[in-house]
Amino acid sequence: MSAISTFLQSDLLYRFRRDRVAVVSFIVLATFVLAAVFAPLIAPQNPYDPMQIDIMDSELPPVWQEGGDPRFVLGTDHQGRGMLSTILYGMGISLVIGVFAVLLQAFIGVSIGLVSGYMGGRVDAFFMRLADIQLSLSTLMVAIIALAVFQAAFGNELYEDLAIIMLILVIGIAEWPQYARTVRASVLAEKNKEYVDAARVVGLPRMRIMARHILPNTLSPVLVISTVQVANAVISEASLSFLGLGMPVTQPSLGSLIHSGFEFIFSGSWWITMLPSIVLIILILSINLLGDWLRDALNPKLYRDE
Amino acid sequence: MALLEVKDLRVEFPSRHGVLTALRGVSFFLNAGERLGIVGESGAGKSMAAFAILNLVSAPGRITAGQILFEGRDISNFTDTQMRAIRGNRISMIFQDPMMTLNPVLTVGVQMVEALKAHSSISDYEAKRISIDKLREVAIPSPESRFDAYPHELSGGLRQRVVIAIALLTDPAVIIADEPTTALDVTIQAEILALLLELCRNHDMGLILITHDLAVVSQVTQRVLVMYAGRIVEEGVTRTIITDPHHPYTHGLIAALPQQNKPGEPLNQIPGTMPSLDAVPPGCAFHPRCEFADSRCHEELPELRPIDGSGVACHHAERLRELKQGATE
Amino acid sequence: MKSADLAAFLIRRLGQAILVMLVISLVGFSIQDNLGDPLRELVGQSVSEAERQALRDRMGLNDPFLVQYWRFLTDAIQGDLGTSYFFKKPALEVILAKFPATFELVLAATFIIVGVSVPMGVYCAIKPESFISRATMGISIIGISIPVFLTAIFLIYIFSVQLGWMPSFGRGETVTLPWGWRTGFLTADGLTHIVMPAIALSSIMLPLFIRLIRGEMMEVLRTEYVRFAWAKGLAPRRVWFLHALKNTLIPVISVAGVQIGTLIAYTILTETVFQWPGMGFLFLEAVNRVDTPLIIAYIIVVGLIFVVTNTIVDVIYTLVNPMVKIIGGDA
Repeated sequence: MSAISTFLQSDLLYRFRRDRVAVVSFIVLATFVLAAVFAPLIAPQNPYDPMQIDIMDSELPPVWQEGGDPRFVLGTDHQGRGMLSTILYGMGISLVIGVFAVLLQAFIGVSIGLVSGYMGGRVDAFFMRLADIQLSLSTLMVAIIALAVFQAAFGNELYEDLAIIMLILVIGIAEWPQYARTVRASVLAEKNKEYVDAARVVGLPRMRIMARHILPNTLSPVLVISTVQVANAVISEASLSFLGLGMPVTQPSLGSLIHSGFEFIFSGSWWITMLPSIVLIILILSINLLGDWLRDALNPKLYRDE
Repeated sequence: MALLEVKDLRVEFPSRHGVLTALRGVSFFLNAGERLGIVGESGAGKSMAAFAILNLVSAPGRITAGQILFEGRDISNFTDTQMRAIRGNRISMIFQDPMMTLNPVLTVGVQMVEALKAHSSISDYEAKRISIDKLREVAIPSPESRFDAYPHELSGGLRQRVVIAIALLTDPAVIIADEPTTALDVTIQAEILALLLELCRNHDMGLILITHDLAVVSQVTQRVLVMYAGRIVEEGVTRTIITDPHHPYTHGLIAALPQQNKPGEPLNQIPGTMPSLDAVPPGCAFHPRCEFADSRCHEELPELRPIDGSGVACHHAERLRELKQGATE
Repeated sequence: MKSADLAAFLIRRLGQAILVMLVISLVGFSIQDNLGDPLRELVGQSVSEAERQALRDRMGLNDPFLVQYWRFLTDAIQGDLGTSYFFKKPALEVILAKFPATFELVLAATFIIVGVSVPMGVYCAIKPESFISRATMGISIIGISIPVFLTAIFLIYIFSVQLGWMPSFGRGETVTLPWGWRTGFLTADGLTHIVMPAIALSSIMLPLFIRLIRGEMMEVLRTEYVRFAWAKGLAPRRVWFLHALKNTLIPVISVAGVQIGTLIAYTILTETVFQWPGMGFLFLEAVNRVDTPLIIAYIIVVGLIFVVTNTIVDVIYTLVNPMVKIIGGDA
């Protein structure tokens, strides 16, 4: 309980409540996340159950437009699936990939950063060189090539089953250097502080020192970049799916929905691509706004006055 | 008439904690060709006074009261364009760390020539000639090749000489030197100070030397101001202030110098620290650290008053004088 | 810096570049080795196994890995990157035919990025409290949150579908220059076709660079040397655009170098939405058709572009930043 009450009275929460943008972003994001998590319960239909779709319902506009059907509040796509349902499920997939990819990046990156920073010397030089090289390669480009090759190699059917794992792996592995660099910088700063010397003198093993003492102090910058990384992961996944290299049409993320709906804007059925687009943008925007606030809140304000 | 006269200068900063006052009514003067020192610990407001003279106080700080009379005109109200004619031209300033003062991506030559061309319409050739002459004057070897060098290619001492040379280019009436030797090695410090002294004498230039180091002040300046928490607490002839201080703070500063100790004695630190801008004590700001403080010091701000030829802002300056006289007898 | 130093540096960089290209070619070749079966494309199903083996022998497909790789390399250096299954023409030729389209798109986007981000970034740094600055920073975070392909889709929807002002696909009318380069810059039609794709392509880079330049410049404006420049009584223009800007742009060049790869990835996205007949669009089609030689050739060409541009950026950085040591240190 005391941890919670400390949090509730903390400076951080106070600043959060005062910043309307942060609060709104948080509410929006929380709503989206909850909606995605509970999609199977709240979606009017399961869009991936062929029994529940009727092709006669295809291309119905949203309910506020002429020709709309109250059964499908946001309209239907070209196969008769309700947009609300597909968007809910799609959002879930986009978020899952984004979050897990970042967890993977963070796990790899933080581990490498800790080891590299703490050990120093050749180990450090090696990992940082590796990170430099990887950072100079564009994640998106590497992902496109990797996924393109895998898709060509595995064939479409196998690829569809593996797509979600492939996406998480590719995005996860490509971005570890960001975390590694950040953590390493923190480790280098903390390494020279007195409490580490004290721990060493007492005889604590290196792993313990790293995990128990240094790691907690590196969490703040890790948290800050995590929000940006989640936003970037979501954007990357959406871009890849849009190109047809990501989630397949049978299990679409927001990106895939936009992809399949694109051709229909010319024939007037704008909602098939536009609605998932708007949802995607709001999702990314709220993550970015929260991330911006977090970055400002966790850094000492040297020059700015409230 | 004094060349430069500062009257009741106040500099304030609006901040989250309210309005912070960095300078609380500072007054002093500088005659032509005179060398004045301003000493005090960090945070005393000495650099602030210098920046205020040139109207370079960084926003959101600003001058809220007082006058700055230079050659008879009040420059505290000057527009930026008017100030530009004075900065780097009639009044030059040099900063503490020469590595940070010179732009790392521009050559020394570029940074010298522009100082000349900003204030007069001379040719590039002429500007280069004058610059190289100045480099020679500050005792920089092979000035022609140094002219084309980048700052990081020069040693710390050479860089500070370059900065001094830049300040001299326009033959200013006053040079303000803000901690010019603090970032340098001790051996170089002496050289730079000697150089400053010689240049001031040769060019009949006024000097305002800002430092926390009493030893520096004693070598170069004729008069000195001692500042504490944004006010002047003592002022007078340098030699007098150092040998016969009248304010408890000045007295403490001098007693704290390691030279004053006999080997084996603990250092005589003044207890406590300079208050930060948002926590300045009422009345005399020094009173929490002063052994002579009484209730009057807590309530009433002491004004500068003349005692034995120096100006002292203390209610108990006479008591201190008596104590010292008693000690020497 | 002396020209001998510069020459040594260039040679070292060139060596690195060649090394990287070798790695890329190895990766490309390994992929090719394991992807698809060239035989399947050449002969039908009804050929017997024995004949297949014989064919494989004759084509050298049963040779050891290194031998095949060496053959691949030597062919590649001479410009032979295989033959496209779909186009039945040399892969390199097919790709190079599309190069002008992609190049012009990237060029147009770069003009927009540089032409907008530098002035805006500088302005926002000098006057951070002004309405324009705040609005720009606010809009930029929205800009970063909209993926490239969505900007493209929105542009098409608003300006092509709804308003009918701008064309939504293709390059429009092109003019073929004497040496074979097809350009869209010389016709009004070509120019209208490139506007939206260029804007879409620049849309994520623009806010990035505005923020970057603003951030760097604000830091630079707080330095002692800028303060000293003011104390010298220099004119504001000189302080901002010489003293401050030069220091600001140096790290920006580094960042720009790193972003090149991402820009190439974004061209694939943009070309797909606008059906812009460039290399990126070609690549995606090749992926869909499993046209292996074309896929590999694209990877190699893009790798080469990446290496060349990175080397150029490195060299520019070294020339511009006087504090970089050439001998013994990497930029």
